[in-house]
Amino acid sequence: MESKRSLYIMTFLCVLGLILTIFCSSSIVSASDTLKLGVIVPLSGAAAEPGTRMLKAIELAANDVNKAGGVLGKKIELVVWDEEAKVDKALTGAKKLIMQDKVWGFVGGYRTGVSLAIMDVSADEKVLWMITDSVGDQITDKIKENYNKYKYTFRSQSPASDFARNGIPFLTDVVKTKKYFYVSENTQWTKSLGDALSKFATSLGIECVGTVECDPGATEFTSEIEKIRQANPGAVICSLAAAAGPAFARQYTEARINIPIMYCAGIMTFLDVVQGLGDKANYQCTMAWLWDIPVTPKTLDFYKRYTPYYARPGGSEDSRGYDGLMLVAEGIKKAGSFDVDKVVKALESIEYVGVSGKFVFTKDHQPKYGKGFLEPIIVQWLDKKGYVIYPQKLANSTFKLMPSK
Amino acid sequence: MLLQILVSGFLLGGIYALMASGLSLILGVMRIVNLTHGLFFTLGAYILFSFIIGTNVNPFIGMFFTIIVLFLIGSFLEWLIIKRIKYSEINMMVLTLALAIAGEEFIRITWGPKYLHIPPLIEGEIRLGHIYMPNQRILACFIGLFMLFLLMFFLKKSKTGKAIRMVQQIPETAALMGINVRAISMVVFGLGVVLAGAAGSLWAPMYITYPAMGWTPLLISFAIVILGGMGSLGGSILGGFLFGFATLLTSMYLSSGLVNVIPFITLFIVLLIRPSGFFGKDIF
Repeated sequence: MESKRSLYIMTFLCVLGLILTIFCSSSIVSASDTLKLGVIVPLSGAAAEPGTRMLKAIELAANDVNKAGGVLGKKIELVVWDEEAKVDKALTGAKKLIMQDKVWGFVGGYRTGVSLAIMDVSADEKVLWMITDSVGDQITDKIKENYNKYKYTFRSQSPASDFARNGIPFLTDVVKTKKYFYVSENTQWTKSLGDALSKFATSLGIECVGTVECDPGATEFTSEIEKIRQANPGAVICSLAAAAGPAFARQYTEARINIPIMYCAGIMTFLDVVQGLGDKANYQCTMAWLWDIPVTPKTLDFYKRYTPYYARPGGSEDSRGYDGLMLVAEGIKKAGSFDVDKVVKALESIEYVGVSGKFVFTKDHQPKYGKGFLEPIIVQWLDKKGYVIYPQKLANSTFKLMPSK
Repeated sequence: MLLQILVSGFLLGGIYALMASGLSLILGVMRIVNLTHGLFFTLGAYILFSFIIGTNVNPFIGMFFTIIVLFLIGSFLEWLIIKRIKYSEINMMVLTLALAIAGEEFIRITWGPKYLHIPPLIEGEIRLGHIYMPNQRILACFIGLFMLFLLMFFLKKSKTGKAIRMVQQIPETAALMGINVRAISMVVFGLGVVLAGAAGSLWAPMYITYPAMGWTPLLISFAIVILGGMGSLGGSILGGFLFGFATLLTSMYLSSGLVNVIPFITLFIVLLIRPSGFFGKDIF
């Protein structure tokens, strides 16, 4: 009797459990009216600052898409993962976003090493991966070597080789020199940039007379500045992207090195970072990705809306983060489907005018560089204000050499 | 060029010495490997920033109040948390590491992740021929050295200082002789935090301030403390200057990429020859 009762109770519980499982599964499958995108960015650690800006830009883009009606009837829902600029954390996050959060694709990527690792997850799981900030050329190489496997990866950020080409106008058009010195971090992407810059420069008869590689967190640059003084180049190209950048800028001015310098990327392109340096940034130049100039009809509007939202425009994380998410949305709309293979095909033939410029992807899924596509802006700083000195069609000033005392 | 390197190395060494002495003091007296050292280095910079930018106060007055606030934070932390598990060295290391990580996030949440500029306490520079010395660096070096000598004077001449030295040398006997070891621990931890934070607040106007800035100074401080002798303030001063010179000479004559390697290799070599460091265990 007792055993029969237990059996009935057990059977009832099993059936109840089965019904609940079916009900809940049905709810998850049928009630989804959002397009979930995983945002993989560093929000803590040394890269928290650019990661946060990237996230803000991506959020702004998602809000804009949703206000315009969403993507094929679905609103975008962002699921954010803090990868701390670490590969192991990024991989854990990517797997969790797919298995637990059921995201459709990924957006983000700051350090090249992290983005490379997620490319494999994207390939295995057939999930779109839109890289919005990593610049290492290894990403391009990986797609080139095995297109069928890595075709789900795209990049809204220019690769390091294009960053390097951005340095050329400074040498040829602004300063007009045949000798330069290269200051970099000892990181993967700046090594790529340095190699690419050297290749482009050599093809134009411009010589690199010296290089130094510093730790991204380095603070003391007396020796490096003395090396520059000894080498006596016509210009310096600097790719110290993180906290080392402002420290170097300050000491460069204090040392009264009267050699033009341009910063390729990083926080030295940010308005408030350079303004905080005050007169210690005078006459130094930075490459910018976004400025209050009409690069495209959409640029100024984005600049004005992003600034109050985050109060810090200027880096590539902002504009390319925004454009990256918009490209995903446009790709799905063009495909007319959420089928990732169809979206890949759509993106490969897309022509999209973003806030940074016109996006057309190469066969290696990199944004095309050059006139009519994505071009650099060079800004020179004087008394806390940045003046556009290149390209000439958008310039509001000319280059000025530091007066010698 | 070599002269510029040596001058800059000397100025850097003064800051390094101040930075490491707080760690040395806590290690020497309380036998605690304090992994929150970098956190308080960072906090010193942020508190100074808040005083200067938030209240528009004179930077030197801001620094004075920063020191007071840091002492109170350090003493309170010792009373609230440290004293409860300081008899287990492993637990103490884990605890201070956890506090350091949590503290960095607290800073990020409170002040934001953005890089901050703290205006220099003094502008301008001194030029002697080809040699240049920014006034802020000169000030930072000499304030650092002044604070260290003040600390040494306090430890040698004052009643509390003598009590601290007794606790460091013979803790059990100190307690038996009526010295309030609990109170001494609070004072020592507070002083250690002050030294770390003062170094951070002198350092920040020369470079840039961000939440994760304390980890490299923590590593360098450990290396200097081991080099100079654990618990030795004199050793920390000598080690700080040696480290300053080693850093700049390495980046000048070898490679900038070896800056974090060669000084530590130097440390290993010194330890092989003299395992207790230059000055062994005495804090004075």
